[in-house]
Amino acid sequence: MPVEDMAVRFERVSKSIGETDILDDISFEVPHGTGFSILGRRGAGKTVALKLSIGLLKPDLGRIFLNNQDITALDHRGLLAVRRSTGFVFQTSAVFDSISVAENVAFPLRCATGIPESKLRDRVRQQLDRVGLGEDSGKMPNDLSFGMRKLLGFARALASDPAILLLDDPWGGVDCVTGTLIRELLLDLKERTGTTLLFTANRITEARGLCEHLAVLDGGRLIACGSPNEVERSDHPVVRQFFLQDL
Amino acid sequence: MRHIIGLSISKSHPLFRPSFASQLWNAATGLVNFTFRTLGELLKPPWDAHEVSHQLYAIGWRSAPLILVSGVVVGVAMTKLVWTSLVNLGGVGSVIPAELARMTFREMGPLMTGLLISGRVGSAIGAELAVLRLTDQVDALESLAIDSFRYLVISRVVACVIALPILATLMSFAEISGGFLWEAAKSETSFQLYARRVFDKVEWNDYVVPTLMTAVSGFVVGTIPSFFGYTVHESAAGVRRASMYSVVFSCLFVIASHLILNALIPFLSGRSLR
Repeated sequence: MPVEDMAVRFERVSKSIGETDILDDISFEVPHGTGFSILGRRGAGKTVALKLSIGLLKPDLGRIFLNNQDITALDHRGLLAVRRSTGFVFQTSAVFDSISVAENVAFPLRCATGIPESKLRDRVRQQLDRVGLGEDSGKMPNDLSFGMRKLLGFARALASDPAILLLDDPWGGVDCVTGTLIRELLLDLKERTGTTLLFTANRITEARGLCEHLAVLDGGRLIACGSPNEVERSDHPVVRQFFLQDL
Repeated sequence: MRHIIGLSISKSHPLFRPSFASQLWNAATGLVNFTFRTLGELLKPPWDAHEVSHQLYAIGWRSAPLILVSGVVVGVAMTKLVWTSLVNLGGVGSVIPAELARMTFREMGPLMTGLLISGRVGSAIGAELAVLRLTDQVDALESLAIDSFRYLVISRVVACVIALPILATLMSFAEISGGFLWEAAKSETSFQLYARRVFDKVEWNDYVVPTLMTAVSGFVVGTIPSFFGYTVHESAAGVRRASMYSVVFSCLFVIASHLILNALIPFLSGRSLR
């Protein structure tokens, strides 16, 4: 596939934090409109890889392309501009706890689009209904459960209709009902709007059906990358463990 | 297993703590870079008017009761001290209001305001930004294509720069009012007489230049806590340190800037102050 069709591209990326190597010589490509999952155990470097993808962290070596733009060469203003086409759902939800649920969704819209207040309210309600938080719009984030805060993070990230959605462990710490809702949302996004999904997961079951490509990280190294079927054929013991766990 | 343990240990782990000298050097260079970045961004309007007004309310308006009460108490204490000392030395009681007003406008009002706001606002900014950083809310702003530095730091610094001269004025008048309360209780002086004695000898220069210079204290109180909060790396201990260093260093820098600017006032006001 030509490189122009890639939403995200890592070229020999390495990253250390302090004296610890987090990622070591990682390369992978995420085509537009597809799902790509980064699998790995805790501490494998998945979150760092995701944060590198939109320039929240800078790599020590290598280049990262977002929509064919080398973001490692961009200044802060340039980075802000390329992030307008992305949405990011944080592992910890990272919702703004000093403003209400509705304001959390309205805030990025108000900052980025400048749409009239009446339309903005409709849009916020739409997004909250989509994730099942329509009834909770007036609540403060601290009044919500962890799973609900995660859904709020979702609604906030989706508010500006991003072309690329990055999700850090979207199923982490949520109950199975919320997990299913998240899964349905992602499937709907992918099929209906062609949104590119790049997400991290701890289990292969979470990634199945949502991604055309998989990458398995272990100890900061990419130990397998390809379609789920290709990765399944890998004889690396850690990859085997992921697939055995799926049985 | 080895690499998992290895990955979980960062430089923040006590075993890998850098030396005190290198920590100090990193903090000092970090603060200098942060200050220059703040200065650079301050000169690039527009600022986020909504956030600046929100911060003005939190920093300025909500500090007013503290400033008023402290001002009156300090005014009473200062008048009592000055009165007792001067009268014991054979001084004339009628010159005390004017001398007290000059002392208040030039020194005590601006300095006390800077110190009180360092304590009240500095710790709040340091702790708030540290929590925002540690709960990924700063990264969340960035991921939404919002410049977190301008939104969080610049709006607070602008609010402090605007609020401090206003609060210093409030403090000065509260101190003078405190002086009047003591004087009225002691010698039954009328308010009109006291006000005439205060403003007879006080000139605009005694008030305008020192009060405007509190904008520098505002910059200090906005920038230093923002640095400690915005650049925090560790969890609970990081918030504690950010809050503590915010107060300690903003107080020290407020005093230092006050001393330096006071030495410069004669040059800035075009003539020496009597």
